[in-house]
Amino acid sequence: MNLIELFIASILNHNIALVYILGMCPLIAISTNVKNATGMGIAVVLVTGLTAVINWPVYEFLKTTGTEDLALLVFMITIATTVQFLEILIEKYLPAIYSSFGIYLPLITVNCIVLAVSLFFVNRDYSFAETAVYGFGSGFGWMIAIILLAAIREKMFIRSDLPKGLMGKGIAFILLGIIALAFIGFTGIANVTA
Amino acid sequence: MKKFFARLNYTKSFNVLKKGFWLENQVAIAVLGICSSLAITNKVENAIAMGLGVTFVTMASSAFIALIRNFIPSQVRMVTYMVIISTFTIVVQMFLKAYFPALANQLGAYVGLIITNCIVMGRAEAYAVKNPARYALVDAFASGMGYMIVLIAASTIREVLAFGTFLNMPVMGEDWVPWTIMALAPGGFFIISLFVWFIRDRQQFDESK
Amino acid sequence: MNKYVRMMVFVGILGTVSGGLLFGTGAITNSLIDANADALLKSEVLTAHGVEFNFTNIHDVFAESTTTIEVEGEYEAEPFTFTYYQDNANGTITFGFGPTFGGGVWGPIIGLLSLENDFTTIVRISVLQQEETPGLGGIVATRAYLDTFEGKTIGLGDDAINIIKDLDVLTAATNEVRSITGATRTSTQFDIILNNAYVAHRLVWEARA
Repeated sequence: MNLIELFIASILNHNIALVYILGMCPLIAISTNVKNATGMGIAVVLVTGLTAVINWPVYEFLKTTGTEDLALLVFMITIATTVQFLEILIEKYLPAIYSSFGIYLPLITVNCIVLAVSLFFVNRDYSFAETAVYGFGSGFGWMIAIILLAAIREKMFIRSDLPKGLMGKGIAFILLGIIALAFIGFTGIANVTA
Repeated sequence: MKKFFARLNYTKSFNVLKKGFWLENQVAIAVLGICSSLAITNKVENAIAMGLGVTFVTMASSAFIALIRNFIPSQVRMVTYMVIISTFTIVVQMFLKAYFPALANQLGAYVGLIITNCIVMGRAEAYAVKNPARYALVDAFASGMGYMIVLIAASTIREVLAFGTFLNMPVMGEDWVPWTIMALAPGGFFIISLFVWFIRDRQQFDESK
Repeated sequence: MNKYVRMMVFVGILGTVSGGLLFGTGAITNSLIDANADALLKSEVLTAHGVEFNFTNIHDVFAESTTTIEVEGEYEAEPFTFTYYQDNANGTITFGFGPTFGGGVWGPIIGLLSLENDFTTIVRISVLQQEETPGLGGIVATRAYLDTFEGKTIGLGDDAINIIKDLDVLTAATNEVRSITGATRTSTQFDIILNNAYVAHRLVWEARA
């Protein structure tokens, strides 16, 4: 499996936010301005990639003991634990960064894409390198989606005259729908499976 | 009659119900559980199944978390919720597969969606961990039902436009050209946004407050 | 220190209880789940072979009318047991396809492919398990869609079955089937799974003859 092709696919035609429609709750909640969106996006890339890389050897271990049915539960425990550890580490050693996006880290535990990436590498039988590329690529794809949305919403907040019911999160849906529609145009550009 | 409703307004249960169904509708106001709302609302039968599933899991997990809320250390809250929710969902799925295999087959795709559904976690964190079990149950029921009602409404529109059927019964006639976009994700976004708009407008909900 | 000890104890208890619950439920339900899966497999095989049965005599009818042939082999350098079910009366051959040969978009697609004695003409395809998007990719498991494969041919190389978007079914070739509208990814994956399974099973079948 060509790793560069996998990376491009995970950003474009298999973008986990705009094509698989995962990770929507934090996407809509945090996309109010580009600064927050970038912070959240970087945190998500880090967590998604890291947990994918950790869950792969864990799943290999589960396979050797024949308990793959526990995979879902075990993945979530490793994800929650990884995020918890990351939060403690960042708070201790990088306090400046912690104060700017430390609050987002606990939110990421419930971001569907973190679990989804782990479930996908199981489903598609990826090697370690493919899992790493796919994990970081998916996080990066999600980050692109949230920054795109935040950029538009930031401008709209200043300039547009929205109806009261659509202000805030309402318009985010319509914008996401249009962006998702546009991303359908990338179909077939790259493959995620050999 | 009016007196009855005035009295009812003072009861905690009724207020919890009102909040869950309308004032803090999980889809339109709190904007949670979106991933599943978009994927599932292409057919009404899926919306009903998912709505019931989420309500059931939320009620069970909220009740259980409310019962043990005084013992959960604060640092491991998130892990605790996830473990309880996923254990419960997997146990239910196992029982379904053993005793109702046809049903379990159809619901196979939903299990993952229910476990990561923000609503289940959201109710656990926002309500169940601070309130006694009986109110947590009512809150979970109301949130789940509020979610299901919006889902059924949205999926009615999407199914009729995308497939020309309602609950798999054709309602649009022979020459109906299906709006395929309504079956895909962008259609979901547009329809859900209509509901968000409608509900927020009716409540004059101001997000910035 | 006390705080951390309490946390560890809590996590330990939580892990043990949920693990115990999962294993316990597994122990109770696993035999039933396996029996259900076995019954489902047999009923689909017998339906494909055109054999009458009811749920009381299914195992006897299956044993009488079908020969199970198992060949130990390799697929992509991993050991794999190729299992074929051949009808004693009309020679119809059925084999399974599953995660070994490729996955669906959201999860495995597991099913059975039944061919005539010539190992080319499709008699029936069944999907036993899938987790695709309900209403879209999920259509791959419906009888209505799988019946479009009946009578089509599948072969090696250029004769492989092709699932094509927007195919004109009136002018289609015998190895072309229409894809599911709005479910391009699932259709692509189904194409890959069917062809991989077919090629592998055919090579092993011809090698033993």
